Amino acid sequence: MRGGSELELRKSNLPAESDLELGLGLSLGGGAWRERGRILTAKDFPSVGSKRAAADSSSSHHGASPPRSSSQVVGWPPVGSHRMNSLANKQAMKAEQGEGKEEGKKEDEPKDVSVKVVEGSGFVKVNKDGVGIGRKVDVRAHSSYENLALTLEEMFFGRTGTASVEKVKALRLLDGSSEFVLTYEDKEGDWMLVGDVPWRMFITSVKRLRIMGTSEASGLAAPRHQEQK
Amino acid sequence: MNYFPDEVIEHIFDFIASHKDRNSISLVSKSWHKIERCSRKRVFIGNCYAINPERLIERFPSLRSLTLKGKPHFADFNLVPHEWGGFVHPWIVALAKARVGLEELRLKRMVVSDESLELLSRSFSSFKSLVLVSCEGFTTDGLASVAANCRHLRELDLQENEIDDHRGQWLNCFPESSTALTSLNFSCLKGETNLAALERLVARSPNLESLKVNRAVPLDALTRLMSCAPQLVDLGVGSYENEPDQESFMKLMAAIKKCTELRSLSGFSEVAPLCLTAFYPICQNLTSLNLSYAAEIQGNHLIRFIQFCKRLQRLWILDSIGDKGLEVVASTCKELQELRVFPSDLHDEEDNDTAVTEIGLVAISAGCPKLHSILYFCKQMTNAALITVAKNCPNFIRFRLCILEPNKPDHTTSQSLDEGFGAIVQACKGLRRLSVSGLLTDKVFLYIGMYAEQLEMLSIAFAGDTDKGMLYVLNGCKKMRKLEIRDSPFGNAALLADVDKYRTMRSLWMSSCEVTLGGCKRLARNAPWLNVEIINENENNDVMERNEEDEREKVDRLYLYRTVVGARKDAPPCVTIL
Repeated sequence: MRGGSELELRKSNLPAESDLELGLGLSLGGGAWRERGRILTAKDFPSVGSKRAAADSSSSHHGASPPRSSSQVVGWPPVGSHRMNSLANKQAMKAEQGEGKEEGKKEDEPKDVSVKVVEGSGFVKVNKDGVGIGRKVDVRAHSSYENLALTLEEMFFGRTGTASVEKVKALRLLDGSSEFVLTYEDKEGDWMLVGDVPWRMFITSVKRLRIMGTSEASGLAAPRHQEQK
Repeated sequence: MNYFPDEVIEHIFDFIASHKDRNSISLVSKSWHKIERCSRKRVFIGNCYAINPERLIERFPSLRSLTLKGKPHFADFNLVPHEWGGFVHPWIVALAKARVGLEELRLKRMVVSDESLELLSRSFSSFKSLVLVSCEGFTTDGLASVAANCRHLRELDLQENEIDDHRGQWLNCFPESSTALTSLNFSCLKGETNLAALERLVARSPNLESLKVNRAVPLDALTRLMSCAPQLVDLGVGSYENEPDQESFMKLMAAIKKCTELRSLSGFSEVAPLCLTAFYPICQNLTSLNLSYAAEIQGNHLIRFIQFCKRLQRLWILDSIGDKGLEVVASTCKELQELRVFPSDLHDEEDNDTAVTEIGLVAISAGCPKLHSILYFCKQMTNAALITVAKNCPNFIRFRLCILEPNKPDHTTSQSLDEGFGAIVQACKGLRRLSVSGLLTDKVFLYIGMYAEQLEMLSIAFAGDTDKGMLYVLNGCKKMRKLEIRDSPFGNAALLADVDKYRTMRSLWMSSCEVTLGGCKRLARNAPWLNVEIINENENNDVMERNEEDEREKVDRLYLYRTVVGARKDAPPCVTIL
């Protein structure tokens, strides 16, 4: 960086010609900063504040945000959430239609599948028993039950304290081994245990989520789930 | 002027509509201040926490139209917690209590409840116009009260709100005597619509010019709607789930043909591409086209349609149109003033050859001489392209470029995009809004501070190297009003260098930067006329021990704004006002 001379430049409106010699040279700044090229992989973009995380990796202060379990950096790209939800709906639908590429014309699609209008945004309310304030989570921003459970774990059970996320922990809410279970209310108003139906079906029918104590949840157990216990 | 009676001066002031001008008038003298404020009908409040409703009413007793904005812009991208604030209720309560003759309320990014809507509908007998943009917190029950009680309602415009759709009968709640509607937009509602009620409503609204329906309105219903509203100027289309059969298609086309006043088209969110062709008869009349939600329509269909839209002034489209499509736009739409190209594939799953690049942008700049506003999402950019664009289009007022991958350099030279953006700010002397992206060093901010004299709003993400970058902007851009920064290495030195600068700005947002708690505290101490808000959503506030707060701790999200009413009382636990 050129230092003082640049500050002077700004103060006067008409800098000397020589000061304006601005070539196309790349001025390289902080090294670690530049490594972050990937946008959409959790590994490459570990957190929103990853630069800080890299710099203060030894300290476990709560300045850096926790890693996002979904494949996107928070709030990037800067597309309005309304628009994002709309797009996510469509992509979920496309995936459901079993389509790998976007090449095929829509006219060739089986009509009964395209009729299905995906209602509701991805955001559903989540409440945990004993916690007054609920949260909201975008189920459509997740790709699987494991991802969703991970996000909810971070939201309601605090940080694990380690920089890397262990897969084992993700299943605590799902396999009944912790003192809490994850349940959801579906379109018909019934409360079900999360995990029983295929993920795609789940995101179209979930209306809201509730993390409840295991003792309370016993009445909800579907026959299949009871067998697992 | 002082020798004229007040009524004459007031009459002269009536001709002055712009907020800025009226604000200037009120500064001339005490008597002008009084005349101006007593006659002022329309007030715009860019930050609802900068002032409170009581003071507003006190100053402008003749208020008829109020515009309020709540959450900061980055709330659109989920960077602001839902419970942050921006509640309209206290405003409505105060206005009702003071018996203000409110006729129009326009809200953006505010929290609106059914209770608020109910109170609104019962408190202002001349209420005519409700416009809600990116708001949340209400349901169709609230809409029902507005429909039922606002007897003189002309405009109900709901844009991109999060509305809990109770699938009730809110459309039925418009009384049979309600015939004054000029604008009805419920495109953001997600549930089913009572089609019969909608048709009856449209049929008895001869002044209806703008109608935007939601997904649930199918083709045949649309045909009937258009048949009884051939006077429509602005139409938002719902969903055509299947391809229409021949007969339905012909009927739709016939109805469309009669809509000779139609100038603006939008919607198409779940549409078989063929349905767009039904609009061929009127497409040469269109001045505004928004197909940015029409993910089902492939590029080639879009291109074929746009080829005929020679009068287009505003185009919002998905990047599936491709560079080729933009070249067609450039050669067809010579009247184009505003272009927005949104990304269609957010998960980067496919190496999308058809998405737009710098080529499309250059083509547009070369072909559309009237272009002054652009929002462009793309995967790659070059300095050469930006320099060419700047040469072609020195008239940009708004230039927002978003390269999807943060820190991405010029893909042909691997260098930063400083020079490209530098060329833009240097050429576009009237530039008021700028969003930068890609690999950027402090140098781009040097250019911005040096050249962007009219710049009012700047959005920065993943850019810059040191505090100097931010300082260049704060020192150079005299007209800066809104500065929003994320994931950039700017810290306390930049934040604190010129505290008085924030008197001239509406707000500053910094998230995932280098500012610390200590820095923010110092700022708050030196600037009591600022609200300095720290947002820490991920903390379990019981866990965070307040006595052990480390001033060196980096602040996750900082939002500061000037205010004349001090710290707000409605902040949630995750927000700390220093």
